[in-house]
Amino acid sequence: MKVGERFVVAQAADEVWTLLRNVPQVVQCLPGAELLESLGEDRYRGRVTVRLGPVTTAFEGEATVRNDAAARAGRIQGRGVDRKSGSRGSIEVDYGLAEIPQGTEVQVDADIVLSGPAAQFGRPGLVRELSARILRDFAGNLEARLAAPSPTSGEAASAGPAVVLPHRELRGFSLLWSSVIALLRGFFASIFGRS
Amino acid sequence: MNTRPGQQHRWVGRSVRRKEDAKILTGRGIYVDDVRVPGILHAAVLRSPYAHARIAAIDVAPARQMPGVVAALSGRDAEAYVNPAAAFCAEPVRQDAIAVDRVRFCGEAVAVVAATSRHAAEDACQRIDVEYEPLPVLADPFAAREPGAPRLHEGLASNVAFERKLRFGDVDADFARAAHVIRGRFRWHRMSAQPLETAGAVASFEPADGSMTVWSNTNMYNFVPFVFADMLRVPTHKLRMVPCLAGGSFGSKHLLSKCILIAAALSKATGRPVKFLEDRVDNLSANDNLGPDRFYEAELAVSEQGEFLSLRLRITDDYGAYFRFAHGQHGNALSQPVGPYRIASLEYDVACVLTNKDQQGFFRGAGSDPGNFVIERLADAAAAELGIDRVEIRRRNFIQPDEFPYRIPTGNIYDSGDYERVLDLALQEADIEHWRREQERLRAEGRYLGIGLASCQERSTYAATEWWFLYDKPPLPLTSTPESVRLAIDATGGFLATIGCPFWGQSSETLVAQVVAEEFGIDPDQVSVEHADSRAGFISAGPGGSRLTVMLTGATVGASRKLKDKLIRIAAHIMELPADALEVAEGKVRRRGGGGELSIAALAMKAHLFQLDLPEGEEAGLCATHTYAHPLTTPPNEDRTDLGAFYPIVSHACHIPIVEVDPETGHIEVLKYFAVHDSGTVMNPRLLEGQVVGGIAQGIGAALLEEYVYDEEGQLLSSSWGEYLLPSIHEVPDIVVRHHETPSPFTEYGVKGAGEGGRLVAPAALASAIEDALAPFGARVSELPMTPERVLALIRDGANR
Repeated sequence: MKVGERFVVAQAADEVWTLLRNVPQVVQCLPGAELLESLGEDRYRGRVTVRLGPVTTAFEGEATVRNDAAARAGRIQGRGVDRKSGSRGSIEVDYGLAEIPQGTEVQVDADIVLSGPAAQFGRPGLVRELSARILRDFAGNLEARLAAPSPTSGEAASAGPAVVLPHRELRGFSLLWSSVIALLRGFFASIFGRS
Repeated sequence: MNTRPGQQHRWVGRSVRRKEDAKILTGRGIYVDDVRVPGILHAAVLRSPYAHARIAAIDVAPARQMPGVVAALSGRDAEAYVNPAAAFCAEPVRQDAIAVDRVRFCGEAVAVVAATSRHAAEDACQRIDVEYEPLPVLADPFAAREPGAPRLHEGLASNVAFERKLRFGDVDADFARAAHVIRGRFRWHRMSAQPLETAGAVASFEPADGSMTVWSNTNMYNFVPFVFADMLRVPTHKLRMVPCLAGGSFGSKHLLSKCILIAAALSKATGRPVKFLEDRVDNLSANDNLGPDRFYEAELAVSEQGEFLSLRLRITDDYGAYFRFAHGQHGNALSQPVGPYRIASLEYDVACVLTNKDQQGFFRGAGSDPGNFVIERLADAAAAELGIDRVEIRRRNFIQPDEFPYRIPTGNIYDSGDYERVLDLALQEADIEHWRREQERLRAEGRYLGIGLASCQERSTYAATEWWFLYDKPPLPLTSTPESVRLAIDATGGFLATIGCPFWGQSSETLVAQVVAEEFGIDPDQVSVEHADSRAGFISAGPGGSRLTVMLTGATVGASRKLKDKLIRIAAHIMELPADALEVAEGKVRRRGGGGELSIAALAMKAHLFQLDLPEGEEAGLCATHTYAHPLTTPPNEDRTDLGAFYPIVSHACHIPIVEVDPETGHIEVLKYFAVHDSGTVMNPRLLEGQVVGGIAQGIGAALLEEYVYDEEGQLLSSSWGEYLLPSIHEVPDIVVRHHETPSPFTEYGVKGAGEGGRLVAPAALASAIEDALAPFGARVSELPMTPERVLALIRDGANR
């Protein structure tokens, strides 16, 4: 399943790129994500927790991050297991930056493959909305962090987060609600689109 | 000798109360989950999240460290204890109960755990490490049959496990003389039985002597017990299979393999009894017996006058990942592909394609269900194209009462029937004219009422030849499909019948008691009935293919007659009368026309303990077993242009459902339902009505709701009852059931089978009703189930045409 998001931040591309290269900080912007361990050579161990109603799914696994500084683009490849349900998930995220007059346009495209109960019980429409919502929250967090008083780029890269956003597990109710609204919007669009 | 149809019966034909109910309804029946054995362990299964993957590594050791866990096995580990699942296919398609090296559908077992409780076993499953290498998924049978497609089984040349073009009669000549050819493409989706109680087993291996006892809700332990013994790697004489009550099967518990193998492998590994009962997700995603999943291209040749001449069917059937019961659901479909119509020839071109889905087996209808749907859709389409009323076109094509027994092109025999009479009764019962007026009135209000009509066959009483006759070199070409009953009268005149089949939700105890009561002139309450385990020496194929009433009646009558003969011999000796002067009636042996009688109780005491009063050479006791053979099995011919008689006891029904379709939401409401069935002599009207109504409820599921939905990655999206929708009291309307009786000339009392009829007819009838409702949109129903999305698409397509 492919989901994508484009958004504009007011900062210059270099600043945004510096942040994106800082994996611990990026992880903090991603709702539900935790960095458990850095394995070296761009490999990381982490966990992504999503709660949907009464069902909590926690994918634990490894990801590889490859950045192309010249192109200001990168790719994350990850795979994880939710042991409780026996579900598997894999994700490929491509991201890139483009300089525009208003600042920087960030483009994020993710391809998510869920297998097992997580794929079966989450109806495809709901999972799509959920994923899109996660990306939107990620964009918002990224913007918030960039807008915060900026440390020097060197510090940011080495000393961890300048603004501590609370780690929070992605909340079931609000997510479900926004997903339902998005689904309804889609439903009405399809009706009006048809007539 | 057959009992004369129409003769006066005391118990046959009466709604005798169901013997099974008291224990079931008061919670005193023993189901698999009720089996208590000292030291029992409970099993849970880790299932594959992928539809197709190589198991690169699997480590069950962490599970073994968990509290309460006694054993954890991968597929490779289990190979030390049990064989692969028994398969009836000739093709080299191996299936292990726990996957070895490779998984082929989402939900396939990859490891099992036995622990002191089910929850400990479930928790331990989460600790098992599996490294999968996902493989390309074959979710579409047409892509899977392409020459370059990745192969699901290395032993097969392609994913087309079986392909055969069969011709019966001169199809080309019949098409050449046709004035019209009605063409259609039809789609029937995968469904399964959804019994309230899932499949399960308790296996107890005894290391001291290598014996094993299995309690389960499977069938066929008294038919092919050696098949179970081989799979469990236990000598046949050391295997004891004990039937438990089944909380419904509808075919889905035929020769259960996976759950029995899992329990047995763990029992052998631990030396303790182990229970494995599927949970709902286990049953939905991985049960042994899904229904057909077919794509039809059909052509019906029709004469100028509307006579059906010939039928061509090209079928692609998505069989899923394994081929255990081979193409069995097509053997079945060939019993009645021409419906109740006089169609002279048939071409049947079938391809069974393997894909990454759960496998087919047998499920109520067993492959004849989509066939009825297709032939009835073609009949309606022919009526529309030729401008003949759909009732009239059926009348013109029905096989007539004086043509029975009738041989259809495939070689199967229809024993008897009066199809037009059934049709007339249904039309009368439904009051079609009233509904036509109602339809017109509602259309003026912008509402869409539809009146359905289907006239369908319900073949019953299968012969085992149907499992293999499509092979030239079948692996197990059985020709017997027997059923056994043992009847004993104790020294005080008490009756005990022992039957070789399991309880699957039918009413075999009631039926057997009723027949014994009829034969001896006693009350059914005087007869006890119990189920034999596999050690009693019975040969019983058990329930399946709507055979139980026919076969149990035959076996019970046979055993009764043996005992009646013996009672008469003893009475004749004591009364010093010739045997033919005596008869058994009203619980006595009496002289015909009066003048002397002895009670059965008095004779029973003599038979048991008064040797000196018996005729010379007469064996003591009153116990007889009768194994009733299938009433009419004939072999297929060499080139399979004649499959022989294999499903010859043929019931018939006409259904008229009334539906309303909401064109805004696509919702379909079944308002009223009329069903007239001819199942030969009615044994017990209440039980028959229960079968018909239950079958119609499942047919409503098939027509409107039930469908296995897999996505392109082979993920099962309908893996709970939230997505796999079942008919409830809200979807099933008031059903009016009537019977017509055309006795079978081949069975005792003239009975015919009726277990599948409701489900064999309802989908075709509802499709017709929906099409009738949507006639103003020019809609044609060619796919089931008719979900709201499909209804709306039909309306859109109609508007676009």
